[in-house]
Amino acid sequence: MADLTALLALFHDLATGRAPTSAARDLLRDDGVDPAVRAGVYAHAYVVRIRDAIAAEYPKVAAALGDATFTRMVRGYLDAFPTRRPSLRDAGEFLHRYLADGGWSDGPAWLADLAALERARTDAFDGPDADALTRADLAELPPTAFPQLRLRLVPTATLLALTHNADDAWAALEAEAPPPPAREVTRTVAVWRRDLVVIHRTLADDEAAALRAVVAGAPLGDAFEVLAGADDPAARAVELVTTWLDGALIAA
Amino acid sequence: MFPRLGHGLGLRTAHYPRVTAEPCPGVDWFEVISENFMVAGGNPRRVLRAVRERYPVVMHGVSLSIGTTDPLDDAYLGALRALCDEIEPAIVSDHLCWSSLGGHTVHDLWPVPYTEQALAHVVGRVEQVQDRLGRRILLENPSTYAVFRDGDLDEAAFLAEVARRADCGILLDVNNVHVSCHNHGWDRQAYLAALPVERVGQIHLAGHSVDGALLIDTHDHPVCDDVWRLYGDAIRRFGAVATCIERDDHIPPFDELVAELGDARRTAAAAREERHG
Repeated sequence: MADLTALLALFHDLATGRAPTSAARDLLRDDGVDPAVRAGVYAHAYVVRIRDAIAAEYPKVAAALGDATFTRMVRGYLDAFPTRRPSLRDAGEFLHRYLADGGWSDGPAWLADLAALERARTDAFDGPDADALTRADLAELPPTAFPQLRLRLVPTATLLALTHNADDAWAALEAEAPPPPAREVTRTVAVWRRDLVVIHRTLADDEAAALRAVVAGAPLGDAFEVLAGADDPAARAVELVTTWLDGALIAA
Repeated sequence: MFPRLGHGLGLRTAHYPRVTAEPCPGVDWFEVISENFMVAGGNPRRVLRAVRERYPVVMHGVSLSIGTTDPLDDAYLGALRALCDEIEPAIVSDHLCWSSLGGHTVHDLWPVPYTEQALAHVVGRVEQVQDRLGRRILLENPSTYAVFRDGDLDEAAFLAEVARRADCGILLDVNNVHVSCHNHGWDRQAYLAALPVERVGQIHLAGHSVDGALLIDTHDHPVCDDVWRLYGDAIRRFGAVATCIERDDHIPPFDELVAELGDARRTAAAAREERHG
């Protein structure tokens, strides 16, 4: 198998730009067209196909950078994180890590968080289906059961910690408005799918803390200890649970 | 050997609302890209289930990478098998190509060297895949822009021999025959003649673009006159094989594609009359 693997490796290096297209003349037939031109077709398609797929999954990142910069960024990303998954939709799965680790610095500081937000939305889009818990379901429980109740988020739900105002940038780009200047923040965004619609919402600090406790498996009584400083902790707890139920965030 | 499904369309996201909302007269079946539906849930799976309730479905993959020397991806095959078990497709296919090496997946259809070593390698892998899926698969001739210097076989002979030895089928992409023959100076009729009639289980039709001296398989144009003529030749040789039109870019309104599918139906009918006349 060594001969075959060696042939494939030579072609791989040509078509991914790791070897100069002039090397094609030793590997490929001429048949009336320069082998370098032939290899160039594959080299061009390799970048363009993956770039277009990443742009489709990260439309706000693509819009924020513009075509030329986005293409250069994707080339750097592919060098750092060669694609390994069979679905083209996963080609950008490490983009937020590449950006967060400083792989690309020619962009706003919220770019890495924006990529993470767009990735979370993609994951939610075709994540597992699940029925959501309803107010009617909870109404069947006696009030005394609530403090010990353990809730689960629907399986598409993710709590995303932001270090910059990427949620504001997403909203501005969605409205086709200029995105805001970057600033450092400490925010949590919940991302999930309600029926077929992907939703994200920036959480208040107390809600974020309570939801993190819920995700960690805490009973509601413990999860809502973070509300102790509220004017009316019980009313706030009811408000949060109602919001989660109406938003189809809690699994049945 | 393969179901005669009539004429179908590649199911694309832009047409989901139309296809799920009302009947689609003029379309006998739909082809889906397997990898797009190898997901846990959400709209893609919902649409696929809805379409499958009303139509035969054919699954067409792009990531099998049958020609690589990497091991077969068992997780991928497991997911493909699970989707097959759920959807019960009439046909399952992928390409005679490779798209990964050393764990790097390139998301393109790269040409296989047409050597005896590669032939034996591909045959063995097709047999493994068919065992894993519990069914026969079809391999499609890809559009190629380059051919390795190494290798004494031509593409059609290589594909035919893979089909015979591995007992698999052939998905004949007529546009790809046209594109590859143009790009390499091959004879289109000789290409069709080299393929065993009983192995051709499905046909693809599509459009292409011109890039200098080469034709590029872009799936962004209607089927051109040369490809329609070659399709007629294919029907005369291979019979009423299930035929599908693919469009992946500049996707027109659904009814426009159905009208083009009508052209395919009429071309096939005329070719069959000539064949039997």
